[in-house]
This record gives sequence, C-alpha cells and structure tokens, in this order.
Amino acid sequence: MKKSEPSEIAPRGTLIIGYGNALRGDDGAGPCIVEWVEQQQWPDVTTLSAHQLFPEMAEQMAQHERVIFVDADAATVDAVGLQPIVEASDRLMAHRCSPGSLVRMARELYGARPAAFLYTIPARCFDVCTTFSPLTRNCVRDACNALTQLLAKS
Amino acid sequence: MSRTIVIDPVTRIEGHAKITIYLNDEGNVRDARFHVTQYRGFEKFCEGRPYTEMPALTARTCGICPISHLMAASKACDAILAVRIPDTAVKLRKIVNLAQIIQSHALSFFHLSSPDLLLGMDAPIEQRNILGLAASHPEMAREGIWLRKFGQQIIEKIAGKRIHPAWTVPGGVSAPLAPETREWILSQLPEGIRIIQRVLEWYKSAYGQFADEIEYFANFPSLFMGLVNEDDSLEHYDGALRVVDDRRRIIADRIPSADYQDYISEYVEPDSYLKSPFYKMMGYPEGIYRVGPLARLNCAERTGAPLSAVELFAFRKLSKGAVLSSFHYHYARLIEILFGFERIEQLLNESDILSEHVRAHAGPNREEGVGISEAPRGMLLHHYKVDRNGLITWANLIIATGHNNLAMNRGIAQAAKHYVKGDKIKEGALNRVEAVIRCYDPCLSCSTHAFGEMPMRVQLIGPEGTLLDEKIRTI
Repeated sequence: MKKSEPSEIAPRGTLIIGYGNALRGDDGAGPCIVEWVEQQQWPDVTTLSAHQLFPEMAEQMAQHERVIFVDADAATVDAVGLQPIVEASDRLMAHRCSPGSLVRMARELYGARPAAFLYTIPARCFDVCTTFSPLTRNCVRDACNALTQLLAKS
Repeated sequence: MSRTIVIDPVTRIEGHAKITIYLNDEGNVRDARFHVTQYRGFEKFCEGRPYTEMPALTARTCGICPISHLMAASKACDAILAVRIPDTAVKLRKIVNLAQIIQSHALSFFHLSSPDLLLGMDAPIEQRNILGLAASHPEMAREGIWLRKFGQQIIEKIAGKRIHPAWTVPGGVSAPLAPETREWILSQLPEGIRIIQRVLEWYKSAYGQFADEIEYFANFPSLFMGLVNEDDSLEHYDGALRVVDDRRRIIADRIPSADYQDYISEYVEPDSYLKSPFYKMMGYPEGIYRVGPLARLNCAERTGAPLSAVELFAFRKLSKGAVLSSFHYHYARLIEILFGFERIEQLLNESDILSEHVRAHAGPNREEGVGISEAPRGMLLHHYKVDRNGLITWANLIIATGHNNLAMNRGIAQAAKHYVKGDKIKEGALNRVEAVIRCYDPCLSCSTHAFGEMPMRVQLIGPEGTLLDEKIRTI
C-alpha cells in the first residue's frame, strides 16, 4: 500500500475503470465491460469496478500510464463515444467525482499525468433490472472490440 | 413584516436538505428550520421479507455507511435467534465497524469539512472543496485519502467488499479472518496512527482561530447519548446506552437495547421527512439530545486505549462538563479515528482472533429483536418484529442523523441569528450556517430512508411569507 506521499514508482500499464450500477439496467455497462476485460487477462491491464468515481481512485490512477474510464451515458446518441479527459476546473463533491477531477487530483496530489480517456456507452433504460436494452447490448460489444484493438496497439 | 431565507440544497453533506431562515419585523433572524426533503420508506418495504435478509436489505439504505446497518441489523437478528454469537465473530464485527467509522470520519473531516478549516469559512466557494484542498494542502489531502482508503481496505479484506458485503449474518459472520489479512492490517496501523496524531496536533493548534464558530455553532446545553462498556470505556458495538446531561452527570445508564422505547420517542414535524426523536422523560422538544463522536466522548469516562486516552484528557479540558459546541464534533472525530486504530490493533492481537468458529446457527426463537450499534454519526437502532415463519411484520430504524435532528435545528437557528444580517444571504454567512450542519455529518439518505441527486437550498423569507433571497447549490 502506498504511503501518503507522491509515488516514486514509475507509472506503467493501463487502468480501466468501469462505473455504474449493475442493478439499474443499462447503467451497468461499465462494470460489465470491466468484467469482460478481467476475463481476457491482458498483461499490464488493471481494472476497477465501482458504482461511482471517488477521490481514492486518484492514487491508483497515478500508478498507471493510461487510464480508461467506461461509463453508461444517456446523452450518447447511438454509438460508443471516445473522448480524451481534460482536467476539471469545477467543484468536486467529496464522495462522487468526475473523470476530469480525478485527473486533476492525480496530478496535484501524486504528480502523475496519466493519459486519460472516457468511453461512453449509449444507455436508454435505467430501470431496476440486470439486462441491457438492445442498443446498449450492441454498444457494450462494440466497446469490447474497441478496447481489444486499442490495447493490442500498445 | 417577517421574512424568510431558504438555503436549498445544503451542500457537502450526505443527502438532500433545505434550510429556511425566518426574519422578524426588524429584519433579524427569528428562527431557522432544517428540512429533509427526500423520502424512501425502508421500514415499510422490509415488511414481508425474511429476517435473514435484513442485514443485506437495510445495508442498501446507504452507500456511505452500509456497514453500520449491517451491524445493527445483524444484532437485531441475533436477538431474534436468541443466540450468543461466538466471541471471535463479535471481535471481527467490531474491527469492521471501527474500520467503517475510520473511513467515514476521514471522508467527513478531510473531504467535506477541512476545506472550511484550512482555507477559511470566507474563502471563495470555487476553492472551498477537496480540489482546492489538494492544490493548497496536498499533504493533508493525501493523508485524508490514505486514511479513508485504509478503512475501506480493512472492510474489503475482512468482509469481501467495500460496500454492501454479505459477510455479517444473523448469528455471526460468514468467514473467519485470514492470517495474512491480520498481518497486513497490523503492518499498516502505525502509518495510520502517525497520520492521525499529526492531524490532531494540527487541529489543536488551529481551532483557536475559530473561536467565533466554536461559540455559535450549535453550542448549547443538551443531553448526550451513546454506548459505553461496563467499565465506562468508549464502545461502538457492544455495551449499553448511557445518557448524560450538559454537566456530564449520568441521568440514565445501562439501558438495555430492548428497552429503548422507555427512553426515546419520535415526533414528526410537518416540514421534514426526518423524524425528531427526543428523550421521553423530558418530552418534546425539551428532550433534545445529541449522538455521534461528541456525544460518545461526553458519555464515556475513558477510551480504553493509551494514545487516545491522552487525547481524551486534552479534550476534557475544553469544558468542566460536557463539551457543548458542535464545532468540536471535528475534534471528537479525529480522536475516534485514533481510537479506532488502537482498538483494531488490540482486537487483532486477541488470541482467538483467527478462530474459525464464527457463526452460531439457529432458527427464530423470538418474535422481536432490537440491535443497537454506534455508526460514525451516532447511535443506530434497528427494531424488528417477525411472524412464526420469520417474516418481518414491522420494522423501525432510528438513524443517528434522526437523533441529532432537534440539535441540528437548534444549531442552525443559533448560527443564523449570529451570522445572517439583513435580507440578503452573504456567502460567508451561508457557508457558516451550512457548516453547522456539516459538524453533525448528517447522512440524510440513511435517516429518511433518498434517491437521486442530493444537493442544498437556503431561502430567506420575510414576515409575510415573501421570498427575499434564495441560494441553490447543485453540488
């Protein structure tokens, strides 16, 4: 476990953070993709699955060269979205963060600047269930393929 | 013309709330009210479920302090089983409960409240948050993260998951402690103790800057309620209830959990989903009492661990009787983190801590069970009734934040009278009124049993009901 000081260990590998509620239909897309990634047993890939993002993740992000967030998003239209994460300048709620605020905390607290991206999975149904809508189900598959290609290049 | 100020939503708390400040004809604050504007109704939809589901079901009340609900629910179910659970199971539950208190206190102090203390109550709102703290005091921010993470790791390593583990069950726990987990936790404790001792030293050197806030942040005589051990030491899982007054005189003691209704009653105000429990012998609203870290330190005579005992000695010097200012909930929280580390170390060094006998098996032998434990924010009470098949027929949950409801209301009225002047809400005044609430670290999603975004709103309303000013914060 890290001590409370900036890491002196060179960051390496990729951290994939999937977040959402697996009991709320399409919102579980992020954790579902993380589960699939874990089954691939790719070298130098670490995963985190969570209901939501929280400040403690900044420390783990600081230990990696690259961080990929995966989240269900009702505003994403009809295909998997990919966007680079820039540091947030907004205020932060203490027990729930944005990817941008975590990137900022990783730099300010641990001196780390991992490359950070966000995959957004289109989501339509947030009912209490463990199944995906057809659109989300297809996009989860597309995101897995995209991750495979991305990680194969590195 | 009387007027009203409304703060809605209240920020940097766990839940969705609104504050209304009423002005009199002279434009001075007449009263203030704290409204909880979310509703869930957990007690009702527990009905008809098997009692064995209650720990897992009620833990879903909250993602911040699910362990606390697991503890109180499991104790209530133990009472329905009418079994004495194995000693090792008790010790393991205590360790996990203390880890929960450590991580929650770290979140409250470092992530929610320390921006006020380190950056100042009047600092620009854009900076007064954990990102501002990370920029200005990175070491403190890292240490807060370390403490919270460590508490959560203890929970994860022992109970299997950080949030909503299914490890605590009626009759004990589902799995014993692994030797390597014991060794790992023991290896990390010195770092935790080093950090919290350093922060305590900082707090003691800094609180003098907040003399005004100490004076006006819910600083009034009240009762205090908490669990204590038979030797009067600090307890968060076992023990019996004690009530002390503002001079720390014991007015009720050794109250068994099952007898709580002889001492506590609940009043419902029309403007809030949060009930107002009160001390029955003094009636409503005079029977105001406080629970949580400040109350626990006021109720206990000693901590039962050496380093925190020294800190409690220093804490006692704040007052000849009970420490009454709710500002010092922060101080008490830090002492409890230190105590938590010490007590976990003591428990991990017990000879039977690795025993594999961690669960007693039985069916329902009683139709009713009460479980009380100390959650981070104070005393948590679960009370269930079951039918002959073990299905829940009635449930009552009294949450720490509910116990503190009357005190929070009186506290914001006191602060508003001191800090709010005129018919506009200045940012510093707004933050101080909110900061009174943050002292209690209320968990509104637990206490009303919340859904969705949980932000805060303050309204200033004149004598004739006119809305004079309104501030809304979305985070």
